[in-house]
Amino acid sequence: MSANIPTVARIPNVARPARSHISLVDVTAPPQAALTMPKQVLARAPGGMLRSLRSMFWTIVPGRRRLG
Amino acid sequence: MAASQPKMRDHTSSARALAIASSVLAAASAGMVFQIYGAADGVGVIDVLRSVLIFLSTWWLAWGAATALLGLTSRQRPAPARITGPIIGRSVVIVPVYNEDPRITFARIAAMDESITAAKAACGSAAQVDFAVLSDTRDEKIALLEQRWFARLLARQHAEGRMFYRRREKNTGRKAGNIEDFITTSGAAWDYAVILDADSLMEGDTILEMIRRIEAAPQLGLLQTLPRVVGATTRFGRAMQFAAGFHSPIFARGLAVTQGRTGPFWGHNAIVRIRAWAESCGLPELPGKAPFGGHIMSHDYVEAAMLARAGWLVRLDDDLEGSFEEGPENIIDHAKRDRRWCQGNLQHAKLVAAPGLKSWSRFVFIQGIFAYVAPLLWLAFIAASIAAVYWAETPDYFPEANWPFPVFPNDQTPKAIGLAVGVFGLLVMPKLFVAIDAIFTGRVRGFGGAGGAFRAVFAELALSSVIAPILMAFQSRSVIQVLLGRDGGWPPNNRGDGGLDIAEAWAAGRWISFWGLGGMIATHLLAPVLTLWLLPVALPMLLAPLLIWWTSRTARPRAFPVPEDVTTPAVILRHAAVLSDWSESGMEAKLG
Repeated sequence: MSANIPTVARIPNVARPARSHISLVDVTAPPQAALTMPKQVLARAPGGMLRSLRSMFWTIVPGRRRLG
Repeated sequence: MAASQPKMRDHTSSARALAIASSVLAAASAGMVFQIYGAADGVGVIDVLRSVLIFLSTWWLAWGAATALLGLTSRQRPAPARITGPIIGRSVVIVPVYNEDPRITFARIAAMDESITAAKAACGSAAQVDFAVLSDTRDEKIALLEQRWFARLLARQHAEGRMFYRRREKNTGRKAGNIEDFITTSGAAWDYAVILDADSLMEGDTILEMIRRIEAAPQLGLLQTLPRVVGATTRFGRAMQFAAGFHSPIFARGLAVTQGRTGPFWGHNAIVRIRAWAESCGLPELPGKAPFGGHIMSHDYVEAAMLARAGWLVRLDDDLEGSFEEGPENIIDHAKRDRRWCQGNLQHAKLVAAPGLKSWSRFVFIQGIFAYVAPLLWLAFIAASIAAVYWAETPDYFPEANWPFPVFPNDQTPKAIGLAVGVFGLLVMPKLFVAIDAIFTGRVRGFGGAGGAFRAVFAELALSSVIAPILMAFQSRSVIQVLLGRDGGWPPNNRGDGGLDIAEAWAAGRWISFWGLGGMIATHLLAPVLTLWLLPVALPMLLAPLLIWWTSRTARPRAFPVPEDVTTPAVILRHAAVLSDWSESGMEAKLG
């Protein structure tokens, strides 16, 4: 589902220790069931702006496919 | 599902092409008419500049009108065949809070919990639906109250083990960081998360239906509902509530048609597939300092774009009812929220070229930026028009040396009036079409009948036209502040009664009065012929404090009718009952 999507790191989903900064009301804290959430890459590559604008232009300009 | 995808894509492509072509055509027509008008005494640089500004500003208005027309001509997304099987997945309703009144917020949780229990009993479902309060509260006194009221909530709902509360010591990443912290710590315990705001309310039936729909569609990463604004009492709040209930469903449907598989997501009153969210929505910090760098503020648009980038479907189901939120009750609260949204949307300039995004997601970012830049374009147009008149050469009535009769320049006034009417039409016509459509579909019944709805439509049009220059001033200031590098921070939302006294209104709006007065004086001195044209903008600016105060006053009971006035939704009644049960006796006083 997520092929070709750049992420900073792909770490297998494994349990890990509780966050130390959660200190209050431990009794009612949600269960520890860790899930990794890799940071996504959103910074553009050099020349990426031009490529993105070009691709966006061709997507929103009608009749692209028909014109070949 | 796979079979329906090409059809959906075709429909989306045609809708996009139609919306873009019609809005560009309208904008180009306006630009050309203006060019002819401006060129009557010869083409100058300032005429070209004004034509470009009118082209861009008109495009934005025409884009809104095209979205509404698409919404009017599209059908409500048909509900999938009723899914009757048992719900397998485990769900959690997450309620991020930040210095909110815990009594009111936790009463909403109690109301939704009761509503879910009733809905499960009605259909014999044993679905697991838990709640998690994710506190980012900074105020220690409120935090202590949160814990006390949460204990009361647990006792009332007998909810130990299915309702959770935790508070972060550092609110890194604000709301998005709060949710991310929860997902990385506890996300694997559930399959789906219903993301709410502290002021959200949803019927149990609706929550169960959302779970069924996301469970039935393995490609669906996020399902957004269209929340209705409730609980407004002031003139401003009631007008916004009416507009949200009457006009927004049509505009939102048009928006959904153009966005196709990429959204929209508004950050709350939506359900997400937790695994999809975890693998796609880890938000990085942007390089540089705030306001453009740092944490992503308008994270919802970005999360929708990242889900779509990863191949997940992001969908608005506008047929789902029973989804509610509250709105700002006065212009100051609206402007505060808008300041945050403005900074967030302008920050998207850094994300337009992010790798792998769907092209339409990029276009959505640009639209979001344009929404805040457009008022500046109108201001620039007004300034350029004053300059054009000031620098205009006096007409030469006797261009021929030996010709005894004067030659008058062509009168271009009809073109100018026609253009103004056209621009005003782009603002007004969509709302009138929505009203006419509501008569044919019978939707007016909930809004006071045809007469009541039309009265409210015209009243809302009048009110929104009068306060538009004030909102434009606030938006322009926000954009300039962001461009100057000033971070607006993360002020908590005011959720009180919204009433302002005249001193508060004066403090918040006097700078707009001064600008309005300055604009009038400058126009009178530099381009007196434009003074009358400027009045619709300058007069409301002059009266800004008065209008801010007046619109924050309590509205007449039947002003701007909405269906919820007649038939109060069950979950809102439950919320009122819990609040009544939890009278304020004691807990706050004990803290003092």
